[in-house]
Amino acid sequence: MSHNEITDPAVREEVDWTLEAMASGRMTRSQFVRRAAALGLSGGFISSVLAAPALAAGPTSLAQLTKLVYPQGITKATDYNGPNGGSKVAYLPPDFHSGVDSHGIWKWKFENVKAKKNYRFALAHFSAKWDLMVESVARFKRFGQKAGFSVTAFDNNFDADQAIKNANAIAQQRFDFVIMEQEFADANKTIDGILKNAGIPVIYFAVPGPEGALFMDTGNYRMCEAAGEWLGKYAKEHWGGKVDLVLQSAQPRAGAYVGQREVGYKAGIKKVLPHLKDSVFVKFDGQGLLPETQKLAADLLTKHSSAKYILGTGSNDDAGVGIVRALEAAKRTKYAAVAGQAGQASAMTELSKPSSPFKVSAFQDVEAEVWMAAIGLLKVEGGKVAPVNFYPFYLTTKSNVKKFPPQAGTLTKA
Amino acid sequence: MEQMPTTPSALQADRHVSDERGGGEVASALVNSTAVRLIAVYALLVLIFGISAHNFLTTDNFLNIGRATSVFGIAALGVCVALVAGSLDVSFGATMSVCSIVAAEKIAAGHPLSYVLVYAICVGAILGAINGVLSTVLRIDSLVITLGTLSIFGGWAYLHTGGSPTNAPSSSFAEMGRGEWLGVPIQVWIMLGIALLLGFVLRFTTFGQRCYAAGDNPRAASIAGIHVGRVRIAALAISGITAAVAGMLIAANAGVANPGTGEAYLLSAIAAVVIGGTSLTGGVGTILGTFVGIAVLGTIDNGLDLLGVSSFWEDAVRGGIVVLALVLDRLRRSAT
Repeated sequence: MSHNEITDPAVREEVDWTLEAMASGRMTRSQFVRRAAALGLSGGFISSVLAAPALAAGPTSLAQLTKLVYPQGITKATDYNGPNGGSKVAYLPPDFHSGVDSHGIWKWKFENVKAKKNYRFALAHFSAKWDLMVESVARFKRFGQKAGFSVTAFDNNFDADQAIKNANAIAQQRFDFVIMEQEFADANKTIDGILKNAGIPVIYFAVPGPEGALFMDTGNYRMCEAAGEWLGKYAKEHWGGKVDLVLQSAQPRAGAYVGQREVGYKAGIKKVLPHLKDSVFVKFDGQGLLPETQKLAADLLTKHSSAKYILGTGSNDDAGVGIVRALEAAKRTKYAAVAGQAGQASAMTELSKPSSPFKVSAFQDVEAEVWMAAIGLLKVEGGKVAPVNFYPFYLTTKSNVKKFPPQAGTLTKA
Repeated sequence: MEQMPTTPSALQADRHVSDERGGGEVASALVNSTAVRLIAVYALLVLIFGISAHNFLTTDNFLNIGRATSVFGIAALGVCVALVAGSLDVSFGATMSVCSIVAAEKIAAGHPLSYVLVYAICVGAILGAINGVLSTVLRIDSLVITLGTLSIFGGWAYLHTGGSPTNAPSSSFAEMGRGEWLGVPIQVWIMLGIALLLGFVLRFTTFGQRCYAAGDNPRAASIAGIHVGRVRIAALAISGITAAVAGMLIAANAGVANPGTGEAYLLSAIAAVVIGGTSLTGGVGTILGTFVGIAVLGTIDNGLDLLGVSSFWEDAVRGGIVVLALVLDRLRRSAT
């Protein structure tokens, strides 16, 4: 019997546990063989598990680890002026994955690593009230189990004070590595001080720490610039480059880094349509919410009643769909194209509708976020890490929406 | 069924109710004049924005206002009934979330729309009634109870879904949130229907009169033979039902139900009720007033948008109006 043929959920759970125990080093190879045989797994399947690089080779060597974490190496930044400006950067190649697992999740090659010892990683994430975060935590834990380190989650609850409290708890419990995800740049300075005093290395996600701190840049500007460029090309191809109004649903309350999204969209559109005046771009506070964006976009469509060719950009997909709903209500979808960001469920639904003006979403794979843990592993094992790291984005459109892997709710749907 | 008073004390209590009703007529006149004043304020707002904001006085724009206000408006109508009966319900946002998820799940499971509507409304009614029962049995202020259930219901929504959105793949369900009838959004028709129904219930039925009595002077109402607890349980159940309808409309419009979907509507709905002249201490308020309160809030938001005013100002203006309405309520109560 192979893994896919196991239909009994209880047996499947036991098999999964056995595989994880093997992967994390809690079970020896001979123990695994005995246990797998007792569970009725086929000899071929057992051999294939034992032959998997991450299991067969034992702990990954530092050279191999470096190669898997940074397949393109670390390069001198030529087009980057963000935090740690002028320093070196590393990119996770968009195609550094092969096949999908039983959940349809992309198998990233950097996950084929095994820790030398059972490190303790802390993941202080944005909030458990955000579905992508819940999924992200589950993905980190799964990767940790496979690679042989533990991941403990802390909920920052979108709150700087809570994030600082969590940093104190992490320092007190002496974790080996921290992944810090919270939105207040000033709080990161305090957090950095706490963790530095405790001697714990940390990587900041999306919002940088102080100068010199390890950083995973989500590339808000870059991905939205690409989506904006896509919209500009669409307007050029379908409307001869005529655009009367660009509705930009922004999130000024979410800080400067999320604010890079509308800047990126605008730059991308203007890259293709440089003749567009600034007055065509109308920015409003949609708060990243569908109903709020819909309400404001509807009012702006009333205000600009003569605008025929309309582009829309959402600070996330829900905001993009909010613009779509407003366009539908105003019956002005014929000459409209809207972009969003994140690959949220609402966008996937819209992209699957042929007639929807929702045309493109700048998307990042939640599984690729666990690259931060791989970078952490490299760091704690004494490898050289890049001060600034980028993980890839993709443009999801109606024509390619089906080829991307599932995101929120894949491992965590109740 | 309420029994006729037979004992002297009960008769005395009944006279008290009659007095209340006599006084109620005066109060009713006052309430009516409040509604009239609100309508005058609304007309003034329309005039100001009509002059200052381009395209304000258009049919499409008023439909926009209707569309933007119907979700929190429907919730506000139920909150008004509960508040008139003396129970402030702050858990309705979480009830909205729960019912939107429940409805989306049933839709996704392939159940017919009519079944889904009834099911979600029953869930809303039960959650509302739970608020009422807890408040009555434990004799704790409904504000405190509903603050607790706000967390419990909201927490359930996140736990049940793991924080993930639930797809609601049905065109007939989506039509409820996005469709139109006679050129007017269906959700606006639903709000108007609920407003008419609840307006009738509060104004012309025994239950409505009992709501006013229970909210105005629960002790006197109790002496008069009114089961104040039951009235409040029913009023909170109505609040739960309107929250369920509002939650379903959000999911129908978005195509997905999010566990935190109702959280954003708390301030707007309570603001509409308070602006509409409903007293936070109970016993005073009308559906007409709340309806005008909804329109005032929606019109201010819309007018400021058309004038290009920052949304940060909108928040401040909304909060300022609520404070003003509360001050006026306080002054009115001091005067009477």
